[in-house]
Amino acid sequence: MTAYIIRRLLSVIPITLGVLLLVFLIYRVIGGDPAARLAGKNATPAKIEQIRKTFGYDKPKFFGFWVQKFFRAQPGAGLGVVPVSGQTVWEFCLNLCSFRLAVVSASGQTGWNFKPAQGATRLAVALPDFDARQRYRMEFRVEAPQGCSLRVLLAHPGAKPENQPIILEKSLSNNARTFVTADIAPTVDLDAADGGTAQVTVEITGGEATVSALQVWRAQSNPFDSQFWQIVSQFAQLNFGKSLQSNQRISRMMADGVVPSLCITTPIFVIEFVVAVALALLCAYYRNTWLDRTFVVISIVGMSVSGLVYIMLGQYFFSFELGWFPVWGFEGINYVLLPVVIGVVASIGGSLRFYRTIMLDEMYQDYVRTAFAKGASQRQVLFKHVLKNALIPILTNVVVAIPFLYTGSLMLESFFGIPGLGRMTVDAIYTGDEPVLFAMVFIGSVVFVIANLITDLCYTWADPRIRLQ
Amino acid sequence: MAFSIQRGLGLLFSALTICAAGCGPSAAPGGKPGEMVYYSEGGDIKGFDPAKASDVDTALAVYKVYEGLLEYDYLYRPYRVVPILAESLPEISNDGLTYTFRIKKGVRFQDDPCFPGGKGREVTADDFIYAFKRVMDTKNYSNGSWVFAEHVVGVDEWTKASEDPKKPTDYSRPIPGFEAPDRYTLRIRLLRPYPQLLWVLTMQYTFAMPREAVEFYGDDFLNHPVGTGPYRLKRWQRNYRMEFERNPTFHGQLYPSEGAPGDREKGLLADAGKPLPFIDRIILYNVREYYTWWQMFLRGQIYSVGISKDYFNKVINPDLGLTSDMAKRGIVLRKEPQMDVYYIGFNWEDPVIGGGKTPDEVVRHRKLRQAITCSFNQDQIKQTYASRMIPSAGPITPGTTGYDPNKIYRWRYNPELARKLIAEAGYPDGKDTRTGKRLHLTLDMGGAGDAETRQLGEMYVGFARAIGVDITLNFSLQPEHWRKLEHKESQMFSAGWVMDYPDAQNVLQLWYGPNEAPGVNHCNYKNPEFDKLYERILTMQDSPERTALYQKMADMMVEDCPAAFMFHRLIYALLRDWVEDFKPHDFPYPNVKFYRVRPH
Repeated sequence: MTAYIIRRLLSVIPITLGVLLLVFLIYRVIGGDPAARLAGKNATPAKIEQIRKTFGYDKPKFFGFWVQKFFRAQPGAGLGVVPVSGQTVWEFCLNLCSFRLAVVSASGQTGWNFKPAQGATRLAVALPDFDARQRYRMEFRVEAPQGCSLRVLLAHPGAKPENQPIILEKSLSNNARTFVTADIAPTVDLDAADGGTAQVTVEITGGEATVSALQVWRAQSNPFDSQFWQIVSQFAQLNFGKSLQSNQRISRMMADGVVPSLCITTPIFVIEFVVAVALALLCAYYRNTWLDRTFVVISIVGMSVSGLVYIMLGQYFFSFELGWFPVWGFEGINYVLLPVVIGVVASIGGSLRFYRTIMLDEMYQDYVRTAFAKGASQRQVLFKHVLKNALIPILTNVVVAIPFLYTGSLMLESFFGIPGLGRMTVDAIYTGDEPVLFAMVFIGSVVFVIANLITDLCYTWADPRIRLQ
Repeated sequence: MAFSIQRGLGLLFSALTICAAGCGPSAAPGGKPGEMVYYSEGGDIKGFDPAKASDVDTALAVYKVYEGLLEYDYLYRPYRVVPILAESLPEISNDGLTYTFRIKKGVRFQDDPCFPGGKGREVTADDFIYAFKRVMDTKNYSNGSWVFAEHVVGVDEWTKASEDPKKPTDYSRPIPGFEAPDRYTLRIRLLRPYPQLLWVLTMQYTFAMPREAVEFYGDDFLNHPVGTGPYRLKRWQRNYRMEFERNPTFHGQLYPSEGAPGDREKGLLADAGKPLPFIDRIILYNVREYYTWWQMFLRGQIYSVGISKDYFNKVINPDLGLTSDMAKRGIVLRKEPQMDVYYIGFNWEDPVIGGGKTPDEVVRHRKLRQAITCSFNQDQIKQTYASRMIPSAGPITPGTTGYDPNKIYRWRYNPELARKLIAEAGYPDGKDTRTGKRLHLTLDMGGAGDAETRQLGEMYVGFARAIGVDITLNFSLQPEHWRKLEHKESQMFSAGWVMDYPDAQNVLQLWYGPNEAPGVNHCNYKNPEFDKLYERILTMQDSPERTALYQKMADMMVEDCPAAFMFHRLIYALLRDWVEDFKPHDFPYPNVKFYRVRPH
């Protein structure tokens, strides 16, 4: 039994990893990073890059020995280097694992035309936050006629222009496209290691050329230093971080929101359960009479009407017209009553029908017939036998619903101004507030595993035939 | 037994009814007798850190508590700035590079536990410099760093130095452009003339902030505002309700005695010279559903409400006035043209509709863009929007110098011209002469699922179909829409710009080449001639010459067509007539201190 519980609790780990991965795929990989949104409407590219760095959005998504670096490329003064723009290539592979496959530059430009008037043409590539102790790699494709030669020069931050070591020299032998990789080795010269802007110059002599697919990468010693593992390690320490939208600590937002949510969902849950089971027993007792049929009709009608209708009508008549309840707010018990009543009314139809079916299923079992044959009264059979045996499906239905108590009721919370978690989650979806979503799915999956465990334990209690191993 | 179940249920229901009846009607909790309370909708806010107050709702909250050197004149038009924590407008050196402010003496921050003894300290020039540094600190990722970046001597170096993630930012390191020669003097030195500085100094990013509070509260500073303003935060239930009360140590301000023509007749000057603020308490609710908001307004629980499209016909009569039913309830209508512009942008790097590479392409693509612009029927949009917009003729927004409501451009709705232009662009009847295929474009719109956006999108599709062009609509949530723009992935996109200050430079930056995506130039428009003009106007003081240049640049925009300018919003809102001294304002953030609530 204990081993079983521990085993089930351990399954929290793969499950939370799985949901975090799913949310990560949806928001970060497909949706891209939220840096531009955080930077606001007056943002400059440099500002966005700063934010990307602050939040770690510049790291590889999952795994990678190389990190793509932001750079600014400027044609050398007075010479004929013209930027060429082109189609953006799908960045997916690049984003996932930092495989150096995709062909797109971080600046969005795909290439430059070198049209020398005389002598050499130069393209200056500025690398901000250059760390000279790290290894860098620059890659690009060159298309040039026979007889052209190419040099790549490097100026460390603060270095004098004449003091530029040549890191690559190459003569371009044919007209085909050549893929050039220039490695920038780390240096121990600590004066140069002070994070400034380094400049790499691509120089082409001897003809018209095109440089495209320029990318700059920085080596990283720990390949797992990535966005996804950053999130995982953060959650492993139960640190939920801050909301991008409200800047508040998420743990605090959840603590603030869980009580109002439970104030609504718990009474709805309990009342609905008690009332639905009671009515279901009543229906089973008077099965196939007008009473039973009336409840069936009522529950089907109740299921068919959208919850929104109950909310809007209820709010309009009871709060606005009659003034029995406040229209909106969360100040005391009378603010909660109407949403709870509406919540119960809106959801009871489905549960009543479900429980009635279960009860009736049991009513036609052999043991019920035996009980009746032995002379047990209708009431005894219903409460002693049927209710107890119907508990298993009821338990499944009830315990599985528990995790949803904490997520709150979105519609009721929105319309009645209950500052709960339902509203918070939906806002987070609309505004792309991914830290909040990560936290909600994380808590959700943990609560779900625990609720499932409780269901299993309840089964053994309700049905002695079941043994957990 | 069945009987007892029934009785139990009966008890349950009767218990509910008794309680419901007993709880009685509940209006918004009223104030003490004689107290003036203002109730309103407050929206979601990002906390009370002025450096991060980048949206309207947050700004509205922050301005109640914090103040800056200057603010907009409440009544006077065209807009001008008046001193608030400054003693007077600054002395500006002849070269326009040095601004010297004298700071009001005796202004104190509100009392707060962060100060020794809990008593608010006097505001000095250093509090402004500290606030400016916070905005420029990368670790704060403030959206306001643009207000000083690349303009003030030494700020960019300071920002750079704050980037190191391992070291905490060194606030003792000076920024040469911000100097405090004595306690009450603040000198700002600029790299180049920056006429917009006076406008930006009214913005929340530049508000005086006590270092004690930031250090005392740390991460929680955003929940504990400590300012000099007319109000202080009394209680904040996040996601639900905010309550402000009069700041007892407010330095005092008088209601303006000079207004725009007509203000006296409207009674707006009746309170001239009286001490502000009038209202004692402000209660802001965070209401999400418009339906609820509307009911609360009619019950008098909040004092103003916007008019959603669905309610428009109920409230507004065909002459665009208030229906008599509404007027009888003591409700007044506000119509406010907004200082914003909404447009359809064309991606300049797009091979079909962009700037073009060869001279022939440049001309044909321009004609194509003009043709599409000419196919958009702004009057029909206006009808669908129930007149809640003003057709736009260019980038310059209403309320800004250079805006001319009577200006009519050649490239406006004109189906014949559109058909002619599209033929000249190489697509007669929308079919490519080279391939014979119909021209197919995509238009990206944000606000997915929003019925109004969809309706608008369908309208654009219809307009383009009339000249034979197929448009596919892509709706996405706002973050995704942003991402596409940032990555230059859109071909055509809908976008809008709300002005930060009443100066057309603010909107013209949207087409300045070096601001290309991921910057604000989402069209990725590049025109050296435009860029040169833009660089020129950046350093020019307000003058007829500069206004002429603004208009010239706007004309260039419309001619070259990197965007089809569609409309400026015209907001209809309702206000209870017991709110007095109310004047619409494009920068209404601090204005609640001017309002008065008549007993009702």
